[in-house]
Amino acid sequence: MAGTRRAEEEYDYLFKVVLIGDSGVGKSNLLSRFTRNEFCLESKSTIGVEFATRTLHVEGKIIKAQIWDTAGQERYRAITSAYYRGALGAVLVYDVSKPTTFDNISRWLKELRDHADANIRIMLVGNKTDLKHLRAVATDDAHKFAEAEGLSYIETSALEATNVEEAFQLILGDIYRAISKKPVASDEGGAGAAGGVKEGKTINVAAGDANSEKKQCCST
Amino acid sequence: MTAQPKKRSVIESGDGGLGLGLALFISNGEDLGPIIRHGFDSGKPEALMQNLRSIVKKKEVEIEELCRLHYEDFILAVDELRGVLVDADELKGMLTGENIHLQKVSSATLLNLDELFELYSIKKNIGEAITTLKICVKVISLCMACNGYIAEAKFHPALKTLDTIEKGYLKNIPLKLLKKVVAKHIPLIKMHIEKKVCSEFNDWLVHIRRMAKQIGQVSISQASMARQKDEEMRARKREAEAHSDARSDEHVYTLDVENTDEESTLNFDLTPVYRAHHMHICLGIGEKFRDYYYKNRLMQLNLDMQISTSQPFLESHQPLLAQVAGFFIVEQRVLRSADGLLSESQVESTWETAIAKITSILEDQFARMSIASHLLLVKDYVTLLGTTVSKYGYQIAQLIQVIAKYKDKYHQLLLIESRKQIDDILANDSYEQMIIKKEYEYNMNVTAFHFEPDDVVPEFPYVAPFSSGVPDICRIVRSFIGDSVSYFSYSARTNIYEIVKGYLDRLLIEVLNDSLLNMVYARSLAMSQMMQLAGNISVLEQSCDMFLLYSAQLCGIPKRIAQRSHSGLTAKAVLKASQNAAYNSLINLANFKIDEFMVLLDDVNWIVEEAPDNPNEYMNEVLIYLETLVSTAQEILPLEALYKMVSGAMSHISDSIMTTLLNEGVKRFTVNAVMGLDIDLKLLEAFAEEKFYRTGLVDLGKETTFADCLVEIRQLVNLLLSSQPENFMNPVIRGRNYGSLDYKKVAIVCDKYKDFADGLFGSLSNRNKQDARKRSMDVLKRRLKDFS
Repeated sequence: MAGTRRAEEEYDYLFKVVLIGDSGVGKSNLLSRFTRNEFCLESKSTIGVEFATRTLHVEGKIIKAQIWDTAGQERYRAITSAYYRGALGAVLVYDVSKPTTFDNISRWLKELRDHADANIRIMLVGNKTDLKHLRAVATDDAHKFAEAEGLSYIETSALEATNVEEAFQLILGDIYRAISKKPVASDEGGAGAAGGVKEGKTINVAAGDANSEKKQCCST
Repeated sequence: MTAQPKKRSVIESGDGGLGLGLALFISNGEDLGPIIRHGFDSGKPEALMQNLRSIVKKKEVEIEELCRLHYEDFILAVDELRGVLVDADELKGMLTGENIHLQKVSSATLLNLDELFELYSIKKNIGEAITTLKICVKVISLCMACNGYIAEAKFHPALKTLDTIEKGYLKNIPLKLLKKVVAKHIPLIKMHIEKKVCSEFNDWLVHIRRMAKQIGQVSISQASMARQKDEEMRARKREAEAHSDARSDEHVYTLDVENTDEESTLNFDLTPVYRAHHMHICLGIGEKFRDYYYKNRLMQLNLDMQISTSQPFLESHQPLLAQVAGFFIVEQRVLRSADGLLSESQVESTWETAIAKITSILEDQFARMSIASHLLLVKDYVTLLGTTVSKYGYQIAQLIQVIAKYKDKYHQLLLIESRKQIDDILANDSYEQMIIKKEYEYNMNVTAFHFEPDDVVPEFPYVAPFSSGVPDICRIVRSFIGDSVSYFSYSARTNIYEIVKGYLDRLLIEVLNDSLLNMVYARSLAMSQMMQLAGNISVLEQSCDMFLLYSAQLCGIPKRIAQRSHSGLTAKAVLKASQNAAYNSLINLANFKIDEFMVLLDDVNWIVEEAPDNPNEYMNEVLIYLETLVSTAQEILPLEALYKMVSGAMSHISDSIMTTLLNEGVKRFTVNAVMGLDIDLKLLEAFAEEKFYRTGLVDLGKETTFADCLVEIRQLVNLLLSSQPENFMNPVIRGRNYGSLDYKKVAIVCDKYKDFADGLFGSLSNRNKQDARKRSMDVLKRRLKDFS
């Protein structure tokens, strides 16, 4: 399943990761913040599917991350099967200031389990932590949910670039460790289960703003 | 030179007229165009040209003369100029000499002068530089001050400084680079300040959202305590009225102890709001901040009002409502103190949004509740919320309307619960008179409900006219009244007494009365138990007045006014009717029991040959039963009911005997059998007479005695035993002695009447007597036949 090395660009692995969640939770801004360090204040709904790539180092390996962004709206749901094909990781995004987006995570999980590879690595992301005064989903509640479902968990703010880098490092690291363990599992022969124990991981970086400047692709 | 004499030569021409005209035109300076055009048009251009040439020649001559005239003067002028030139050359030489001389003398001085000029120039440049530097120093020192303020997060002086720089110095900064840098950084610094202030404000938003619940809880608990004091005062007032001896002089005052924790909670800090608002005004974007404040607070409110799905509403409603109360207490304070940050209409529209949401939640939850106390619990907290927020000027009519809207539901639940309780009590009641042995029992079960006058002190053991179910039911009814009043308290502005009365009537009629009737018709009770049930109904009917008084008391209506009120409970009449139903049931039950004994009538030997000395067996049984019945009923039932029951029993016995005689079962009977009936009747009549007087029924003034109920069978027996039965046909005798008898019945019975002759050895006197009666009976039979 690992991508082969290409002549044009040097990298060790190509990982496809899908972003899913309700409309308006900030999936596209997470993507743009991670790949282009841009945040767009205007909230336009994603039409269909978009993807972007970025190459980074994960545990000493050069990983090319291909992040697929999808529309959370119902009318684009038809593309789901193709969307999930070949994905090694999934990022489930909810908005900490909108409880329904967290309530719907269960439905998105079901969608993943219906359409995606059984071994896909899943991370739960609570976005928009900059809206502290409008928080409606407690960190503890989400953390418990993630543990119960065997997901990684982190809270981010695409607006303030809080934990965005860390989030993608987390999911890509999960994926890398998963595929790294597979040969070991194969060597054991009899062990059919996929390697790696499912654990919830929470990274809450206390540091403030990232060093990089914020770029706004459109100004109000 | 001598002046030449001027000569003018006038050249005469052939066409003198045209030439003169042209000359005049030219001297006047007029346009010659039309004349020339005219000349060419008329075909005489040559004449015109000739004239023009003549004029030209004349002018040339004049010019030459003028030149000749001034020639002399010109020569003289040139001479003079040449003289001046010579003089100038001389002067030039002199000046050159003076200059050389001067240069020699003052060269040193000139050098000094040059130095002086140079120094003046330097001075000017330095002056300009100093001026420039002063401005720059001022600007930079202001910048440094500004930086210092920002470092210390003193944004207001920082903004003041920025304004000073921007308005007072920016245009005058001479250094372009510095000017550019400063101009560029001013908006950046303002933006930085805005972000910092906004961040601080957002922290306050997080804080106040957490605090709002506490603020609400403290305010609501204060309202709750105030309500408790009100209720204590009201209870004391009720007691004073109940005793009615004037102890109204007593006034109890309690010292209100301030709760410092609560005070600190209610003195929440709005400084970050004032600060942020003021800073935004200084930044010139006050409107933006006001909009931001309003929108974000509205979003917070909407989040807070989302119902918790994981927690039952019974648990979650208090935090929810406290959160809302706290939110609006904060908004009211902001409105009053933050100088235009919020407008009255904004707060009102936010409140309308909130109260619409709350009413929607309440309606949804109330519709789903199935326990009355839950509804009451929520209603109490809602009214506390209403009391709390109305103190701050918020309209609570919608809350009151929701509560009023669900009063029927609440009372329906209460009725359902009461029905269960009452049914349980009736099912478990032993229907025996309560025997009370101790004073506290008496107080709890008798005095509490005023079943006896309050000043009477009974002897123990006290035997109550009711069974244990009655005080239990009374407790439930009082509890219902209390719960009903509780629902309306603090939520109804109108007089609630009439409403509570209505629901009380429903309880007593639809629940209590129905349950009692179910017991009456269930046929599960023995005679004594049915009597007790009837007695219980009587007591409960009397209790309606007590219930009404209790309702009035709880509704705050003075006892005197309530007692004077004419309108009572409809339930009183309904229970009265049920009481009668119970009595009818009693009568039916008694008659049913009597029928069991009257079955023995079938065993009577209707053709007995000897006159009996003793009553028939059935009558012994009936009398034993009646004795028990009357002695029990006498203790429990009112006299009226007792009268009805015994009268009914007597009538029933009479009818039973009559029916037996009329039935096919009896084909013939003898005079001896009739004599047996006479013995039975005499016993029964003696019993009736005795009971009528000993029970006190005679005092009721009834025209019909118990014995009167037996009149039909008595008259029949008298007729059959009469020596002259044919007298029945005599209207006068019949009216006097046989008025209750029916012709048809008499005919049927008489047909069955057969007399056997005594044995061959009967006495002669008997034979004679019997013959006479026989003949008379035969006459009666014939006449009755003819009559029919």
